[in-house]
This record gives sequence, C-alpha cells and structure tokens, in this order.
Amino acid sequence: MPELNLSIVTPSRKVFEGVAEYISAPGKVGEFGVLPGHENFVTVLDVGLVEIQPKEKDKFKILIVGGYFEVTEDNIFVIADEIITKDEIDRDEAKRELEKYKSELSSLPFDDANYERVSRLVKKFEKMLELAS
Amino acid sequence: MAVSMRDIKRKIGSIQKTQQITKAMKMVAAAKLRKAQEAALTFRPFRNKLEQMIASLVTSTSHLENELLRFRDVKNVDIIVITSDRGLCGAFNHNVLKETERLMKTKFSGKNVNLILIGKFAQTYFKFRGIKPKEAFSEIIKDRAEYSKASEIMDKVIADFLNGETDEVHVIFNRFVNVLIQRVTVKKLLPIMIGDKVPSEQNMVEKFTFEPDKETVLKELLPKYVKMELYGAMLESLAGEHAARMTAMDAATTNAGEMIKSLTLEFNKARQASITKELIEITTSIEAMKQ
Repeated sequence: MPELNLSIVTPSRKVFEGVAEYISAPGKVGEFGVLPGHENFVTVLDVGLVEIQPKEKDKFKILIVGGYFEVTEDNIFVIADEIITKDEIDRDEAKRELEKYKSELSSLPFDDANYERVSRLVKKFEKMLELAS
Repeated sequence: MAVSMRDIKRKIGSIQKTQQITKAMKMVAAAKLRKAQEAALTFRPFRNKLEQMIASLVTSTSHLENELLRFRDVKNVDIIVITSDRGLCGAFNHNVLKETERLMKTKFSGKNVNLILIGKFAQTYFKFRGIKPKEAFSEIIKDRAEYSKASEIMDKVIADFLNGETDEVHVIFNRFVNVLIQRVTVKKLLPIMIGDKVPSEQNMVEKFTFEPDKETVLKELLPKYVKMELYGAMLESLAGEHAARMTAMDAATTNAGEMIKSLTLEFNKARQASITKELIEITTSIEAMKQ
C-alpha cells in the first residue's frame, strides 16, 4: 500500500518525521487532506490544527501557526513558523492569553496595522484550547 | 631577593585559579558549541529548500508586483548588527563592530543609516560613541537562538521597508566557518536578491500545482524567507561566539600555564637563594667562633 513520507519542521526543531497514511492541514483557502497518490502541490498554511495518521499508530493533532506545505510524489514537507503539541499547552495560561488578545482586538479598528497580527493571535489561542480539550 | 617567596607563591596560586576558570569556560563553550553548530547545520537544508522554491517562483511570475523584491533609490539604510551578550571571546565582537563603522564611513556615507543592534556589546559600543540605535535588543540569543525573536524583529523591519521608511536592509554578523575561523559577513536582506545565484530546476514550477496561485504563495513565502535569513544569521553568530570563546579560553589556559612555569622557576631560584644565604650565615658564624 502506498504511503506518505512526512516531515514536519520548524526552523528550530523537527516535530515529526516518518511514515503516515493521511494528513489534513489548514490551508489559506480552506482545510484540505492528503492521501497517498496526491498530485504534487504547494500551498501556504493558516493558523490551525493539523491531523496526522501515522502508520500503525494512533492519530494525533498538532497546532500549526502559519507555514509552507509541499507535496512531491508522496513526500510531504512542512515548514511551520511555530508548532505546538498537545502536551506543551498550559490551559489556564492559554485562556488568560486568549482573553487578553480578545479584548485587545475588540478595541482595535479594522484598518489598524496590528489588527491582523492580533486576530492571528486570538485564533492561535482559540485553537490551542481546542487542541487541549 | 627582588621578590619575596611568599609573594611569588601567592601569584602562582592566583594564576592557577584563573587557569582553572578559563579551562572550565573552554569546556562549557565546547559543549555549547556542539549544540549551536548542530542547530546551524540542521537549519541550512530548510533554508536552501525554501530558497530554491522562491527562486523558481520568482523567475516564473511577474514578481515586479512584489514590494519586497523591488529596488529603490537608497536614502535610508537599516543595518542589523549581531554581537554577543557576553565577552571573553577574543575579537569576535570587535570585528563585527569595526566592519559596521567602516561601512557607515564608506559604502553608506551620505545616507541615513539606522542601526538595529542585537547583543549587549553592540549597544555599549555605540552608546559610547554617541550613536543612537533605532532599536536595540539584548539577551535574546542565549543558549539557543529563537525563531520567534527573529520573526518579531523582522516583522517591524519589513513593515518599515514597505512603508518606505527604509530602502535597504543589511545584516552584519560572524559566519561560522569552522572552530578557528569566524568570518564577518554582510548580507543584504531587503530588497530580496534572488534568482541567478540559486540553481533551480527548470521544471520545478511546472511540477507543482499552487493553491491558491503562484503569486499568493510567493507573497507568503518572501517574508518567511527574510525571517529565516535573520534567524540563520543568529544561529551562525551563536555558533561563532562559542567557537571564538573556546579558542580564546584555550589560548588563555595555555598562557596561564606558561606563566605558572616561569613563576615556579623564579620561586625555585628565590628558595635556592635563601638557602644559600642561610648556609653562608651559618658557616661564617662557625668560622668566627673558631677564632
């Protein structure tokens, strides 16, 4: 059975490297999934959860904060700006941060230079809580 | 006797202590170097991969649309200077700072140069010379360089570049060549120079489908690429710092050893002199009593 060679890295560390059967990731234009035999393609990722089904192991999720996604003949290469795994999350801390950025966001006008940055942060912590639950 | 024996002994003791410290620092630097070097080396392939992809995208799209690639008349220049937070690493910091000053006097003279300083050394150096930096960071590269920090710094720099506040951005840092050599390197970060120098497969772009399209992917990748460049420079500088410190501490340990050797010789001479003197005193007093 064909399978995917997966390597997920951030500039400072390797997060996952190995064989997988399935991966889904949040693209800029919507979530997508990749199975073996997918056509070659390149896209950029948004903030969100990546689901990986490794071969003969339980599937798991990680939080990815922006990145680059490439498929070449069943080799998948992901460079993320930041990756957070489930056991790295401090729920209370994440909740506090989320509240902080939410209130910051509500006080910003839509055309503010920081609006996009803060809304990304809000999304990041929302997803973080989703992953931890 | 020029110097008393006790003085020499004390001196030897203190140098021995210094030698122990330099020896320990050398070991610590060596251990840290291994880690930093590994980080720098594992990072290179990712950077190259991204560079290749960007290069093939740049050659195949109408990249003139993208602000980050566009050259302008240079009036304002940002220079990012990377030094260490701690000293005792030989000429490591000094080389970078000298090169920065040289560039300000030659290549960028007559232009408005703004400095972005990383590391305590750069800050104290320019403070002393009365040059106010645009921004200054310290204690951000500790045991390891953080990508998030590089990203934070570059976010601001990219924003300034897009606003037209700066027309060119350079980074000056020590490139880690090997343990003995760190080469001061000046790299242009913005506008992004890419294309001819990167060998790219012709069919690379045709091989892929892009989602949503090439232009969007390129637009997303370019800032990442610039951030990675700065992060790479930070990694190189960190590895270089430990290497420089290791070499400097090694030299210091050897020097201390030599000093201990010559002082021990002096001590032995002084001891011998005092024994001889005492013997002379005894024999002369015996001779005197015989008479």
